[in-house]
Amino acid sequence: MNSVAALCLNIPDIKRCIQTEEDRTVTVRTLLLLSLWSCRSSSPGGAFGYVHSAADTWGVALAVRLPFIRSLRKNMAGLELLSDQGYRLDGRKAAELRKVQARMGVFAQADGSAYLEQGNTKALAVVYGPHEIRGSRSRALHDRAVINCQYSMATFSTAERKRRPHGDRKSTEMSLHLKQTFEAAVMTQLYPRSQIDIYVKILQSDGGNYSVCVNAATLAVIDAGIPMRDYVCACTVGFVDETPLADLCYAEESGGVSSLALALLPRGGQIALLQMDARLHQDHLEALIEAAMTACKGVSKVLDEVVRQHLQEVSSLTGE
Amino acid sequence: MVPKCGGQVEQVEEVEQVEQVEEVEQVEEVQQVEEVEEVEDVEQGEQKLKMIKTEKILHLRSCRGRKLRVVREHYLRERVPCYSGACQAGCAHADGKLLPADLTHYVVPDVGVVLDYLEILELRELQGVVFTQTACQALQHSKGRRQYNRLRNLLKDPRHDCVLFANEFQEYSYCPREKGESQDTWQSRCVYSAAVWFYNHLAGLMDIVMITEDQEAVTRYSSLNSGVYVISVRDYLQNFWPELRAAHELHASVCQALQEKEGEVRERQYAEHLPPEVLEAGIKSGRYVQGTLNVSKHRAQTEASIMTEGFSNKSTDSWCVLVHGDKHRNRAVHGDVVAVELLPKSEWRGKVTALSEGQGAEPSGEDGERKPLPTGRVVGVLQRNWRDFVVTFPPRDGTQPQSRNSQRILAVPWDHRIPKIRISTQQADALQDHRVVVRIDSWESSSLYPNGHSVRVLGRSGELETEVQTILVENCIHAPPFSDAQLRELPVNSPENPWTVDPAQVAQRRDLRESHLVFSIDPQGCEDVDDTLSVRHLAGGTLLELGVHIADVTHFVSEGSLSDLEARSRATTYYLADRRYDMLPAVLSADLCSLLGGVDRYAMSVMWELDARTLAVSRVWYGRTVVRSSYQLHYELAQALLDGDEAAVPELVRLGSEEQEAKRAELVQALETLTHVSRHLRAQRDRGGALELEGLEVRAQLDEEKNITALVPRQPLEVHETVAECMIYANHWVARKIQETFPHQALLRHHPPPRQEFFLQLVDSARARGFTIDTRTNKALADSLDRAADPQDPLVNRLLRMMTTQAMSEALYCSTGAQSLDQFYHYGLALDRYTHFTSPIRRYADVVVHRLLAAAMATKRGVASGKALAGNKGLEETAQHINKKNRAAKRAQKLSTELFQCLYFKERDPQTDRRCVADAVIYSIRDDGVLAFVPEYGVKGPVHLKNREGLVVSVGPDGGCEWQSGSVRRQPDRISTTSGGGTCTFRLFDHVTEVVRLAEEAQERAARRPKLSREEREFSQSKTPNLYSLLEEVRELALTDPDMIPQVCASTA
Repeated sequence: MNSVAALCLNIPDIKRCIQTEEDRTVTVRTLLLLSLWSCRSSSPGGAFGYVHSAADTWGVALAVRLPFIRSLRKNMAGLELLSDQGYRLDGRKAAELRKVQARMGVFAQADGSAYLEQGNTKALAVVYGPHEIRGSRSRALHDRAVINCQYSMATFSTAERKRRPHGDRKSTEMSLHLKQTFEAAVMTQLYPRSQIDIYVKILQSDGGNYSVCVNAATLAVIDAGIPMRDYVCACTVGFVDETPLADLCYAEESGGVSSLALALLPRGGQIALLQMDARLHQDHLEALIEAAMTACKGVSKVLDEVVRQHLQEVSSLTGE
Repeated sequence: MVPKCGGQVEQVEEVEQVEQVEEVEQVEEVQQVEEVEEVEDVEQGEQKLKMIKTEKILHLRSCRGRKLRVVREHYLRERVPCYSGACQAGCAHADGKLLPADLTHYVVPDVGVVLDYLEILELRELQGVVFTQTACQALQHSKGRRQYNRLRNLLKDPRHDCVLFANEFQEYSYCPREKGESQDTWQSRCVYSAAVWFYNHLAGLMDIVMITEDQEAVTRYSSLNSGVYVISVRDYLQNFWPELRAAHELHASVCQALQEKEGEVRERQYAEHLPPEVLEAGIKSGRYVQGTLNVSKHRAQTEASIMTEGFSNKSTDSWCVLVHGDKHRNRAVHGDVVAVELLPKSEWRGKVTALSEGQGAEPSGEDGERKPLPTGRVVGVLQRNWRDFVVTFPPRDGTQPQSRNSQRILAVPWDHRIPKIRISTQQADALQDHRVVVRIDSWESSSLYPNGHSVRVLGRSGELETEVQTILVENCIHAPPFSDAQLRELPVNSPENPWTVDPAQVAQRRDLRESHLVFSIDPQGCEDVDDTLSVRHLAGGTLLELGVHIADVTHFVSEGSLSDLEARSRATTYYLADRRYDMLPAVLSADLCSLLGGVDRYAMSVMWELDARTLAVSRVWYGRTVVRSSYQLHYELAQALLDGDEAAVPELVRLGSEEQEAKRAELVQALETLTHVSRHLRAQRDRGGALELEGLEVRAQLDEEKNITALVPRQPLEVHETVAECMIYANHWVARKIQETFPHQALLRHHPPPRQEFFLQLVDSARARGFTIDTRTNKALADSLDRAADPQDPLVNRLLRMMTTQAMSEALYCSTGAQSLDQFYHYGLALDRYTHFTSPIRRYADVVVHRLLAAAMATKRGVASGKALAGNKGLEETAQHINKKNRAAKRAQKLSTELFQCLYFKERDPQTDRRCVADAVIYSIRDDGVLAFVPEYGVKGPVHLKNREGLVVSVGPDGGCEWQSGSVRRQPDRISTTSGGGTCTFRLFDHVTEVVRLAEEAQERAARRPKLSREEREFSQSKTPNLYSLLEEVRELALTDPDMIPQVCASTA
């Protein structure tokens, strides 16, 4: 088993993995997904097998998604995401997070559960396990636990009610991202041949769904008493007018910003997941990651407080 | 942004939804405050900020008509900077300007005032203006991006005393909208609450005046708080700025225009414009074509075209769509970005190529029009390009439409491509025959003409001063006298307090005062000497050191200073025929920066060490220096010295004869070496394919009272070329240096290759004379132009070169990060990189390049330069701005020269004055006439062979000529008139003698053009701005010159 230090992905490592266009003017990253898991599971040479074959999907996306691109352009013209005074649409400054509120142990029947609000994005996370493998036994791993994640959105989570069938591409992808994030953070080697289920539901969606899910799930995992290397905190960061904006809300996310989602183990500063699907000049990437890490550390402080407060409540209940 | 590979479908749906939300009108807004919650500010850990989260609930209507409920967070904070110098609370004003503390009051304009009276608030005399965020957002929402950017620029401009207060993010000044409250009342409540907050925040030290046009607000709020006054704009101006007449007039004029706008319902004159979403979708799908509307100079009433910029997916290159008639033009004004729908092929028309301007009486379409072009009609305007227009108020002779109140005047724009503008004014009588600056407010579909209001009166038309001001306004040139604040930050140089070089500076610079013979060559009487030269032999004559020393403007003008900002906004010195508007104040441009003779000055130098024999460069040195120019020569003197004439050098007159001889020999030697080097450089560039082009340049010679005594064409001397060559060389090497050091953010000047179709006229014309022109590369073009010389007639070559110049694309500044490497090529000079470095006193681009070069030097030495350089984006913006201003400066200069040409001929009687009779060359053939060029005066003009009564010119054997009935036949290279008196044919490049006539011809023409007012008739020569129409009055009359007769006879069939 590799030690944590060996798994650590620092900025220079990431930079090495980013393809650079020859003229250095535009760096195109269609999907950059790095995780400890992918690093571990493949050989060093082709380490980032998960980096999608970006070029072929790019062309298709452009051709089919013209209305999408156009709407972005229009929004860019219409909304001023960062005013000259440095205020964002909702009155925050560039590096300020939304209000984070959370509660742990909201359901008694599950092993662990948590409810988390980040601004107007609200998520519920429930954890079952570790328990023995359900279904096909062949999925079991002999040296560590299997993590099973499921992401879903409530039909009422957006401005217009919409039926959201189970297992669409978006939620499948999100589930996969969550799985990778938590495989990196949970000490799965303590539970060989078992399974941990993490279910996350978005109750209200207002931008940053992935990061809110990660933050909620972290609390739920802690509530379930499953050992983790560290909190996993996630945050999105956008890039507007040469300034990184922390924790984007929906209006900002859809306003044509290149955004980046980052999940961090804050104490060691290791990156569990980094995802960006936009164009960005290579020179700005470092500043963006830096801002995302700062924001994640801000989130981790809040989570830490929540956990401590919850422990106090629980311990006073049990009379210890 | 690209959708993720997974989840594309989902994402698209969601974003579309947002699009609707953001674009639609806000129906209702209800807010609720949640519990107070501390949110930690991650940025400033030690200083915990308390923020309150509230929610805004917006009800938005999507474009499909559905209502959406959107909840947005809204964070409030206690500490929002007030940007006031009188602040007692210690607000953190990190950067940006502060309102001065020594004012009597601050003024807070209401939303309605910002929307309608922004122009008044733009006056620099009004101080202490606090714009609220509420007002800014309302402006952005209802007036669009352009107006909003105007306000943003106003807020950024350090010369204006105004700040933005983010009232909606301040805990105490924020008012949530109540249920059922109308938007207007809510907005004025917000603004009032911001005003009250400001008063309390400044601890009552400063009175706050809120100005509003809403009477209800005045009555409701005026007595609520002492110290916060709520009054109307009119009262405010009268009470606080009684002496500011400009503001009062502007206010009255805007008021009038607003009143007129209300209650004006008439039948529709034009089709409605389509909504922007439909336009955008149509353009993307290829149904509509997007482009800039360009109204024809010749037929402004009917003909306009748009050049598309490769937007359609089929063709990559641009093509032209014709828009015929004002119904199809549909309220678009010259310069607007419009969307055009193509008409069916059966309705396509061709461009009219005849000279005459009669509407309706066109030669019935059969030979007057060329092959049909794509024709379309305007369906919507994407971007208005309304600027300030100069109009003339026509005299009131009863021809004006007398509508329900007689104060509405149809004013005639100076630029005849602009439609007439309806102005409402009380001063119609006083403004008769005056030129007035106006702005267009709106153009409803029910109105035949746009509505506007007057801004400023320039003066009576026909007066020189008015006309010059007109030229400036029409080209958006704004060059007021330099402000006191700016002059204060400059060094002084007066007899009592002379300026001297700073020893600390001298220590840092290379001292060339003793070692080099530095001299300057400029036009006579030049004050701003920005370039000097030096040349000397090194190492026993095997090496030659050539130096170009440029005034070090950036030493005096530091980045971000007021001088810098002002220079940036002017971008160049404007040279008009009789005056100039400096980019830098005189103390710099004519004194401290100017490399005058005999005084110590700072310079920025480029020095090359050349091999004396082969002239190959062995070393280049760039850096800051101190120089003392020994001779301040002018071109004629330098040429005389080179030619060995006995010209007196003023610097040497006082010396003894022996010393004088020696010094003179030294100078002549230097000049000769310089000529030798520059010939070599020129030859080198010629081998690369540099073009020698010809423009028409005429200088008006003025006497003391600004009367024109003569029109003098510029005389080219070899020494002109010598100096120019050295400058080009310096520019080139500096371009190389900065481009290599800053590959993404260097300012270069590039000259894109011309488009081949523009050469058609040139090639055709040359063929008529038996020359072939090869236009494939610049080298081929230069060679074929050299061959196309007629030994008998040097003018042919000159004309061909002039046509080549017209076919060229424009050289432009660009940032290296914005273009690819092969785009840097300079076609005309045949250099791979080029920039402007040698005239920082009169061009802002050079100032930027100087800063870049200094930074490049610092990087080389390993010293980080103090300030970060502008990034690629900022630099590209600067480059575009300079390009725009340069274009304006060029146009203004041309127009003012033409103005003086007109004034010159206005005073001559064509029948009696010999100076009005000149030799001219035909350079283009049209359907009913020819275009001719008069080399002596450098003017071009159309020559009509057929007048409006259908009579044609016939030339008598005595050289006289008269109008007779007959017909005109046009062939590709000739045009012939047949009449009772015989046939005469005019070929290309034939010489004709013209009589330049103005006064009565102009009258005659104007009388036939019913739309022109009498005022224009009297001064039509300066009213019509462009070359063609300017000298339409120039007409072919007779072949009076006896020498010319044989030639014409030969061509008479």
